[in-house]
Amino acid sequence: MKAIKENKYSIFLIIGVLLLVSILPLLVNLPFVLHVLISTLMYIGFALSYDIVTGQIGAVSLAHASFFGLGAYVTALIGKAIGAPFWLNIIIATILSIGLAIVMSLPAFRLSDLSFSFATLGLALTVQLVVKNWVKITRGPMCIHNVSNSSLWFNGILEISRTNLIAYFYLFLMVDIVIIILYRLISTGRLGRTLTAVRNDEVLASSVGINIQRYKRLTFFISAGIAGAIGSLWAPYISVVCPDYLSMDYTLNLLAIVFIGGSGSLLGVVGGSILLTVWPELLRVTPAFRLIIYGLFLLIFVTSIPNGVKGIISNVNKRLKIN
Amino acid sequence: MEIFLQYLIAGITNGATYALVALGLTLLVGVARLVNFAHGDFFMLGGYLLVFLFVDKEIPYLLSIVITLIVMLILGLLFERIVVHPTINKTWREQLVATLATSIILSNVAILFWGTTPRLAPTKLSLTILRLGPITISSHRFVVFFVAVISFIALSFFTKNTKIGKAMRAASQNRDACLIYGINVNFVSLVTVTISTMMSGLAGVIITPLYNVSPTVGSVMTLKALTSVVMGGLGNTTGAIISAFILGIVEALFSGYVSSQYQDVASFVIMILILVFRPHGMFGKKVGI
Amino acid sequence: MPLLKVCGLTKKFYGITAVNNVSFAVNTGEIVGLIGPNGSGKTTLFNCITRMLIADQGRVLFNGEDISNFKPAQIAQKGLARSFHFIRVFIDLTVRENILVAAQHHQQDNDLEQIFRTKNSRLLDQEILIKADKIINFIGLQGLTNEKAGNLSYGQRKLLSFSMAIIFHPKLVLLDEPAAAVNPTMIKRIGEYIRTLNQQGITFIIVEHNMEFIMGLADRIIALDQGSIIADGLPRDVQHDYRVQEAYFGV
Repeated sequence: MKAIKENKYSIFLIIGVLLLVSILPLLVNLPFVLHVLISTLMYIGFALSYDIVTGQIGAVSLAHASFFGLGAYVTALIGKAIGAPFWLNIIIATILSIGLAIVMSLPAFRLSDLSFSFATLGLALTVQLVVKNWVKITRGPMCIHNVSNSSLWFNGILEISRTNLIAYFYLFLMVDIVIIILYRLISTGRLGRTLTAVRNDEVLASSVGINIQRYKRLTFFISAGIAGAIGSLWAPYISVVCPDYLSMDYTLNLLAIVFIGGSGSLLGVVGGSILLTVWPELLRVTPAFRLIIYGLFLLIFVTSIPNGVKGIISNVNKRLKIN
Repeated sequence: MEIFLQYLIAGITNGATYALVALGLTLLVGVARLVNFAHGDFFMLGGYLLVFLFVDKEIPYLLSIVITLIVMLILGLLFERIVVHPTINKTWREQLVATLATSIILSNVAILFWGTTPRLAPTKLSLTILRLGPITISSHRFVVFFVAVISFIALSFFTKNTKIGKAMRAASQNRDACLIYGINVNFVSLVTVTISTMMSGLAGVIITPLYNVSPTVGSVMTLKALTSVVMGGLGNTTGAIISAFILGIVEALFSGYVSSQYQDVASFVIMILILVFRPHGMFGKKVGI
Repeated sequence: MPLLKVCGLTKKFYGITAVNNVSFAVNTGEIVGLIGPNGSGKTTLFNCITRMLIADQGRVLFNGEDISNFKPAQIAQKGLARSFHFIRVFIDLTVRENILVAAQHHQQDNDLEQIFRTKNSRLLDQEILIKADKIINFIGLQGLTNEKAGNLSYGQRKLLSFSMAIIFHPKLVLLDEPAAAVNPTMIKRIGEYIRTLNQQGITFIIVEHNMEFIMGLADRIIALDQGSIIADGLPRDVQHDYRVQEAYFGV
């Protein structure tokens, strides 16, 4: 799967659009609209974190939901126990997610390509089983309800709670901008070249002195940390945390977003997140129906349209320029 | 001792099922060089179709099985044309995403049709309990074992004695040479994928009278089949069958003596250990990175 | 002290001995030709020296240091570069980026500095950029600087992979058939590059089937047959060695 050459200014375009969107809640203050916007913003950050490892360095991890779920559970449990402020939750969730990623990387990164994907799937299912069956701590399939939403923001100037959707919207917007900048810094420049090199040809990369393992670990840990942080923000917003959070469905959503939008490309992933989050929310389809549609599109794109939607757009652009 | 034997029998039944699924996957890996992520989902569909036809629609048992297998045949053909053929010359990444997409579609179609409640298709045989001294066995377990053995023999006869079977074996050894010698690789691929799909479906059919089938069982089954295939060594059908039985028995013992909730974890751990310490049989490139 | 010392290297594949107890030494400043019929173990030898394959027996000393247990990336960072028989380039990177990525892992700044573009990191960026453009001019690909390597012709890829091997000022370069499937003008150019770089102090070991090319270029020839060294000496002598003749022509 070839990555597409990124336009130098795409980051400004995306941040500009996000800033424009940021006015939206002031105009349409409907809970439903805000919910769709917040979900989309969540998926933008989540998918970008997934693409750092899957699109940039090309290791197709199937364990990404584990980190998201861990972040959510950690936050819910801390909320039940002591009720820490949201920024402390994020820090703890990020650190623990990276910890889980380190444990997973021990066996997984001794493998390459397809074996890596299978190993991560096995690990993800294991983690989910543990969460489902460790009823004493996680309440298992009964889920943890009423996740603490007493997190204070700026010492109480603005309170974030389930009822204050606008605050949530801006919180996710800021988090997204941070993630977009981080994604950009990682995927370009010297580090970005290194990641592309590893994705293209591991043997050649090692022959020019690239420590492949090191960069795989680096990207895996960064992406796990971000996913954990997002899970930590998502739990109090949704207010229920279930073992489903760690299920393959989340990872498959991400896979669809990344590969349909255009893997390895900022515009592609952000576009994919918007495309694939907004319509199911608007049409209120069941998750099963949504996943079937994703599966069909994935199939069509992978078998006949390389580079995803981003690829189609850049092809059209090229043709327009030639004519 | 009785308890041990009881677990052992459960393990052998599991093993026979895994072996059927693994055998289909070995064929696919050998001939088409494709690791099919949706392989276990065909197992799941086989199980659900039996439940749907036999339990819900009350169609006679054997007729239900025949209809299920015909549906699996059609699905196999479609799968080859729509998924396998277009990705055969692409990288592992495209193949992974394409078969994963198939898995997503199949498991969620099952959810749409039959919901997420686990289902069972009890038959007269599965409800007939035999007593051998202190051990109790559902008669259906013999059916499972019998069907598995018959399938192995039939497949072995097919690959050794028919023209297309020989072509399949040739293709698994050297695909490029087949092109040169004028073997119709396209047709070989079509037959292989269809047989592979049908075997996975058949495994689902024969086990559903004993164990529940649920929409999410697919990827777990894929992992177990893959573990057997890697354990047995690439393209080694006998190895895959033996490994499947080992896996089934280890799981049953683990489930009985240690924890039934973490039964699947046992096989995942085995899979990861095998992948880490014996990876070269399958995907590993022999480079010292 | 020789730059590279190979002691008793042996590699077997499923009972077939591809490299059989090979020992030789290469001194700084030499251009050594490695010849032998197809399947005589030349590429396997390269792969064992650079640890792309793990040898069954034997040691490799580079610059006096035992590199037998190093990883390929570490060996590259010690200053031992190589090119590949089947030309490999990073297809999603441009010509310039290919060269940059080959050069940049010999610089002293960490990932965090790279991510956050510190001043030191940016200075290093500038440094390799100048180097990369210099080498692009040197090999004559300046018209294709921003072209994706995936779009290059075979000959252009060959030049690119050649420059990727030499960009980080290695001490020793292992080239696997640099003149194969390349037109005569290009062969001449590659020969000139090798000579120029050799004068700058880079040592070469070159696997080659083009006898005219390698005999004219090398100071010394090592001939392999069935995994063993059958001759080692001046090009003239090796060419007339009866064992080499036998290995090639079955005389």
